[in-house]
Amino acid sequence: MARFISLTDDKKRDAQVALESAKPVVAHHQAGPNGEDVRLERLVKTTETTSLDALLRTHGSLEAISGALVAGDPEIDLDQVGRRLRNATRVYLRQDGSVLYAARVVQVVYGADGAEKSRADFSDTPANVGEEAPALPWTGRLMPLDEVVHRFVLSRAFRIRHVNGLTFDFLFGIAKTLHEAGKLLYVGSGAKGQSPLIFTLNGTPYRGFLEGRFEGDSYLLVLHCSNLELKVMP
Amino acid sequence: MAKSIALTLGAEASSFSFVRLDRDKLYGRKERQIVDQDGRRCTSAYLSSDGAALVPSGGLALLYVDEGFATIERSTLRAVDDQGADVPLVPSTLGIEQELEGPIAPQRLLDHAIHTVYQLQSETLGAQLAEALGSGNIFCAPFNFRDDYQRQMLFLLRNDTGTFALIGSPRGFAYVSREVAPDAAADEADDLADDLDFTML
Repeated sequence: MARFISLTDDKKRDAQVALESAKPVVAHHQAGPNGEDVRLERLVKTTETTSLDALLRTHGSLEAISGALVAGDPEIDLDQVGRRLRNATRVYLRQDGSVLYAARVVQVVYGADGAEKSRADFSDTPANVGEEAPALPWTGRLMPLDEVVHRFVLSRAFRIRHVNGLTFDFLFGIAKTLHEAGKLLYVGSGAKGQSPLIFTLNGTPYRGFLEGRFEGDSYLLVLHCSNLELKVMP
Repeated sequence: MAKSIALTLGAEASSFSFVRLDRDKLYGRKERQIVDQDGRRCTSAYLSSDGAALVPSGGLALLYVDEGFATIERSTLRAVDDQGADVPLVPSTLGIEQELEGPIAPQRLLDHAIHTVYQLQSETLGAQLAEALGSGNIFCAPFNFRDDYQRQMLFLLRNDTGTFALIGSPRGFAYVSREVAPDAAADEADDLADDLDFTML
């Protein structure tokens, strides 16, 4: 299913257009020794009743577990091991191994030195890019390609494409403007485009850079995204 | 001793030690944690659909199986293409001199999805390469951290803070053009050419 994004051009006209991720190019796949098809399966290896923590709770010490391992197979749940795990539900376990029925979600912030800086109840951060979100403004901040690739790691990218004839003209115009300027447009959310782009609920915030190219009657408009600067680590 | 990234530009050889650029070490990180009523951290687990198995983190094994559900040892797996032909293993480039291409246009870098960045420390640096990097030029060379079936591309550049190698593979975005609607058949009857029929209203 196509995802959508609302963009504004330099004439302050906005339109909703499609947003596409790159399809990974996979030139090979795994096969068995005789070329037969194989697939990856998730199988149960251990259950909560046979985990090290559970064995420690049952036997009291590592030494006692050693004795139990010699005497039998307490680490193997024979009824469950090797079973396929499909349609499983994610649950959370307390430190005593019991299932948690009322979870509290907190957000912990760690500094660059790894030390905890703050801890607070988690609150959802909604997406600000998409079908329901307001149009991203034309920030007018054009940055030379050389500067962008020397300052930021562009780790994600989306191709932006038209959904009808009118949006073809709209996007072709943006691509042509950027191509002729030889620059990337800084893209952000909010009224002035100063806030980061968030594509999904609680998703990673990114800074956006719009690249435009055209060739004859075709265009290529790519929204490059970065959440990392090219900086030496302390 | 860890192997270096070895590169050549013309007749000059350069080599770099490297460390992966880690976002957490630059900015810190945020983590979402699930805690119980006493604020103690809880761990995630999977509950099987019949409720019989509670599988803790690390309690799953990923195994390759064939159509008959027989386990296939990973060491016996083959990498094949769509026609079933073996795909050759591309060796690691670490410690093996790779010829740099460039200077290249920055668009070339934009055409690649960057998945890893290394912060470089030069062990030996050719004068020609040092000058070119200092002028803002970008170079590229084939790269593989380990033996793999796909060759990656390394982009070498320097900015005010240091020298970096950006590792990526082509994004594969193509230009798009207007999809032209097919012309209406010339002999197709034009419904609107008839007199407008108001009796149906």
